[in-house]
Amino acid sequence: MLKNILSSWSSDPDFLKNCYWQVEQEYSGCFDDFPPGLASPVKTTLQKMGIRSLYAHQIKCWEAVKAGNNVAISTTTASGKSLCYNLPVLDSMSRDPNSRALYIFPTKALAQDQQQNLNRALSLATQSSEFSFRSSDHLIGVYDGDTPQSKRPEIRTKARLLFTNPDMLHTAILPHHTLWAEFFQHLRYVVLDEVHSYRGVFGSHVANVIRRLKRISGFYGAHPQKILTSATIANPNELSSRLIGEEVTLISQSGSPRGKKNFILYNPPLLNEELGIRASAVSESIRLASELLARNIQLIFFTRSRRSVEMTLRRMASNHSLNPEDTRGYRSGYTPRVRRQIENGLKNGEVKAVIATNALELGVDIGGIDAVIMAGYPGTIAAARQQAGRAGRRFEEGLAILVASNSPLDQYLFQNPAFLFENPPEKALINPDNLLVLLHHLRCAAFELPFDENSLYGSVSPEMLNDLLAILAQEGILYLSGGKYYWMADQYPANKISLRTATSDSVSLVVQHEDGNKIIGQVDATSAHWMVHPGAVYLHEWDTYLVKTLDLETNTATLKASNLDYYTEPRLQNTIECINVIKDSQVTGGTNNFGEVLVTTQLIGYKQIQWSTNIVLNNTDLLLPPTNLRTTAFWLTLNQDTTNHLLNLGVWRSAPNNYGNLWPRIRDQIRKRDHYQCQVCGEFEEQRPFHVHHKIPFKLFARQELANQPDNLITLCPKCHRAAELSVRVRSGLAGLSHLLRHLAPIFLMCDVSDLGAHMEYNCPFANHQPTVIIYEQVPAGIGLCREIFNNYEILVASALQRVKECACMDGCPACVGPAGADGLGAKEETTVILDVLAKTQQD
Amino acid sequence: MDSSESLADKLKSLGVHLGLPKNYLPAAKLSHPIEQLFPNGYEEPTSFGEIFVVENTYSPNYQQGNAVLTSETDTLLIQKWAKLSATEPYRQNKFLFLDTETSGLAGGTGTYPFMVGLGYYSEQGFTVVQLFMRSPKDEPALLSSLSRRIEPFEVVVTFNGKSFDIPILNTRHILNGFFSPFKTLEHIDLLHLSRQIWRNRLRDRSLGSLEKEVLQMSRDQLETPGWLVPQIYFDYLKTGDARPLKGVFYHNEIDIISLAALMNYINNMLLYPIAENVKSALDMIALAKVFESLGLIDQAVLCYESGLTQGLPTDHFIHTLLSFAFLYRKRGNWEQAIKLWEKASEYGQPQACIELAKYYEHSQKDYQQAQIWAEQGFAFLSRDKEEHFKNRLLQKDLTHRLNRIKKKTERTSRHA
Repeated sequence: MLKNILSSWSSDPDFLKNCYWQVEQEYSGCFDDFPPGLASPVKTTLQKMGIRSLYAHQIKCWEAVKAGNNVAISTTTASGKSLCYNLPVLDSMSRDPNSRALYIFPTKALAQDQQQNLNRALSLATQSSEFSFRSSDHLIGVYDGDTPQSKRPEIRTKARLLFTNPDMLHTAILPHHTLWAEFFQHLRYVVLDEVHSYRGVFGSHVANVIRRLKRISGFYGAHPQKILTSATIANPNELSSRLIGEEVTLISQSGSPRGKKNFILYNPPLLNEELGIRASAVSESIRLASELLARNIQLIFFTRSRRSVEMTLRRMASNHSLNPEDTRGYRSGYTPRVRRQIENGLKNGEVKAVIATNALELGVDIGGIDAVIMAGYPGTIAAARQQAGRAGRRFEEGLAILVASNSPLDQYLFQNPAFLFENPPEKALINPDNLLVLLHHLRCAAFELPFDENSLYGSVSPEMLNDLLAILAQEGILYLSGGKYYWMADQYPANKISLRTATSDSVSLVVQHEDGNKIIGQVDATSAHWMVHPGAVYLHEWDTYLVKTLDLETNTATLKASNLDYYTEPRLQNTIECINVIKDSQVTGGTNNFGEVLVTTQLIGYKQIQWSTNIVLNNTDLLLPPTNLRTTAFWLTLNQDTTNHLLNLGVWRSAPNNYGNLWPRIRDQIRKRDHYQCQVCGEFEEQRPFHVHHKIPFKLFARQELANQPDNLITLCPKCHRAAELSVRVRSGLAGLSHLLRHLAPIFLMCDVSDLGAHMEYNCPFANHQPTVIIYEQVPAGIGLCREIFNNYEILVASALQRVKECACMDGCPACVGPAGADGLGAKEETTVILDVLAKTQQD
Repeated sequence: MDSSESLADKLKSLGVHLGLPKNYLPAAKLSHPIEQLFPNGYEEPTSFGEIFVVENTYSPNYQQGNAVLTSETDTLLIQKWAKLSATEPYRQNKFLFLDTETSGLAGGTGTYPFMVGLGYYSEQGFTVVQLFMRSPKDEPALLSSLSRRIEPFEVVVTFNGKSFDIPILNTRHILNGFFSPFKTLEHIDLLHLSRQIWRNRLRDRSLGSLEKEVLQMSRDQLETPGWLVPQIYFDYLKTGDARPLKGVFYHNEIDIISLAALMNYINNMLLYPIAENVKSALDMIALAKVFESLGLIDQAVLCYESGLTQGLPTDHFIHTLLSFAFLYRKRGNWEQAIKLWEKASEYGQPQACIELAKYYEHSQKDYQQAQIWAEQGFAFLSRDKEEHFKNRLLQKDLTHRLNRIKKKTERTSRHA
């Protein structure tokens, strides 16, 4: 059936015009016999499971573990990674009745899923009489937030394979390690599954939790071997060894067979060529999904947000007479029971389509699916490959379609499919030594076990460690006595530190009901300023709330359920100061810097925008206290020669306007022509004269006379004038450049667009008052993203130039330098000129 | 990094709330050391360093409130309640009363006891020994002294020690690489027994409240409330000024004495419930339950009877009638049980009617009586305007029962 649709598409010129089609041939796999050293109970278990031979990479992993190495396995989705670690662990369990293993999964759902799979396999084995741990019902224990208190003591003492997550290790296990003394004494293996999800802030936290785990295991005399698995990323070796602070042996060659796979990059047709507007990725994806479903092809539809899962589900339901049992949503926020039900439905074919977020991306076992549709690039090559990897069964043909959205990233990919198919996927970056993260975990570590003057902690230098401990002592959290730092506070530090964010402050969202208040969620304190300022419309699980108050003293926002036809958009003002320059380098046309900055953000107001029309209903001023973000940044400063070059080419439009000598007279004529009435709101002039506005910005004309033509002029009241100026504000080349860099950089960094902020200054105070583009990290102190931008500057500039030149739009669109203003004037030309200068060296 | 910027400044600009640096006042250490505060205190040497000890002995039969610290009493019932293995009563000098003062209430490995108070009976009377860490580094010495001092005892007695003091002490032993002596010691936690006995009468069953309400004594102004204790110790570590610790030592000492007094008080209640030892009818019926759980039915019956005759608030009265009836039913004394159920039914108690209906249906096969009682129960239930979940269940059960009884009545009449 899939074959039919593929062949009909391959003969459809309209379809082919908008797509890039890559075929990955089938691979028959590379198998081998069970390794000779494998304990016979484990062998029996495998045989009972119907496994007669192993994949080559599973054998390699076995050998590396047996040689005493830490191992990282980075192979494709569904290549039998779990068996890689289960094999040596079970082997060791069956030989040594005391040995323990700790399995760490990024989510509760995954831990439960893997536990069920392993239990099922072992229950087959328990029927075999030679199995030595047959009698124990407590072999595997899941220890997570859902584990009932009454069951915990038994799991602590009896479980030999403990399945948990980093958060639980952080808040419940390590701070109470004495209750686990026996477990730690006999800890032989630590398994970290799906480590590619431990990147960015989360990964930096997890690396510190592992440092603490090693410290505690060491206290009990255990030095467990680590086995890690990862989806395919560019640096599995680096990430793994940074996570565990030790060397690893990498296994990346998969020996598992796979069927033929079609990977199609699909670009929705252009609706408006001039503005570069294409049909929406979601609508096109829904159309394609319906086409597949009509032919009874099972599929997963990946979309980026939880909200979009529900919206897609509704749209699918309204378009087609689908049975709700056939088409399901899948995202975080669904109960585990419902999720299991959907997963099983996929496995046994009862569920035909699942609309999912990346919650389904992490190795949840759902078997092979015929087709995968991605509505928009999931943000990283690795994620795209992982989602696509869901398509196709071991010996059958599969289909993955990535439907490009209007963002520069998606459009870049469509123009450069090689990037997706031939490049290694992104690096997963972590920075375990991020000062904030480090300090948080030093508190926890000191609580768990006192530091002494000779203690080490990860790769932190002894001087740095001592300085930090001294600071904590001075603060009164630690007490130095007899060369040891003792915890000296009536506090449980792990409870205050979330692994999922860098800062620990959060604002509670309180909804006022007639029958009392209810907390519906939390927002981190920094985001609270722009997400839940008074007057903001906050969306939560289909419901709309109006924010009444935001109290930054008590960290609460009060909300009221409302039925509003608009959403709000904050207006923010950023200023950036340089704290210090860590590295700089001269490049053609300017200077590159990498250093620390202080970003001050202030909410100055917000817009109310109507849902149905996207019209700005109101523009409200509101001043909240500024928030400070100290972080790392990359900045590019154009030198005088470059600016001169641009001015000479007539495209440098940042100089102040000179309207000419005749301007006062022209202005009065136009006011008279317009009856001294604002041509937008109809207000009449009273005391002060109204403004006269250039419809097409003055800067864009070569001569004053042309700009000052009466048909380009209009009378506006000051309020409407400001709005008009905002909407037609010329996106100078600088703005275009910053838009482009900010949106393309994530491709190289394996981060989300929202992990970076961009800012530009025509007259940058910390760069000799030269025009500067600043890209900064949104995480306090940074996790190394901007260092990577600095190191990969040339590639970034080259691909930015390529993107602008390839883009089919006339003068800027969301897919390149940013959307043009209301009158259709963008900054494509200016941006191209700057990039031409910057990219010159690489070509010469 | 900018070398001119200190790490602390950098952290501050990253938004870390470091708090104000607390000032050290080492001078005070010299002017108000702990040794001066307790002239009778002494330093006990151990192989891990010295530990500071304060010891006080109270004369035999010392009176704490309305309880006496007497060393001659039979504790077999409490032992039985705590499920200790011994079948003979321990001699009083085998009990060790223990209470710790800790650096926090959060638990986990970062919480440590800086003071361990011990109380025991000796020939001189009742001795309280307080082991105190002048610095956290004294911990190995404290634990070592504690292990040595524990040796002669068989049973440790605490108030909430099962979930607080003993797990913390076990943790501290593990952290210092020691074997915990508590693993081999029997344990009586009076918190749980106190909760059972005073649950009807006292809302707050903390040691302090029991002291006031049961032992009828009060502490003097030296007393330091428990929640202040960690901060006082931290301040002492920082400033060296031991004076505020006086209140902590007092607090701990009184806790130990009250613990021993409470043990005797409860023991007396169990030994002689009907003598004037049980002050309230509410305590009496709670005690009946304790006896019931211990399998001491005669004592339970006595307590129920005494409670009922002493007079109880109506809800307790009805509840007691039912409990008492169940006890009789369990022992096969239907006659007494029926009396109590009938009494309870006078107060509109549906459960009693159901029990009577059951009795007449199953034991007596008197379906007419059974129907009367079932209908009575139904009437009581529907009179209750509040639609409780439990009521609905009872109603369902009764409907079912009534139908069955009616069927049985028909069948018997047909046979007849």
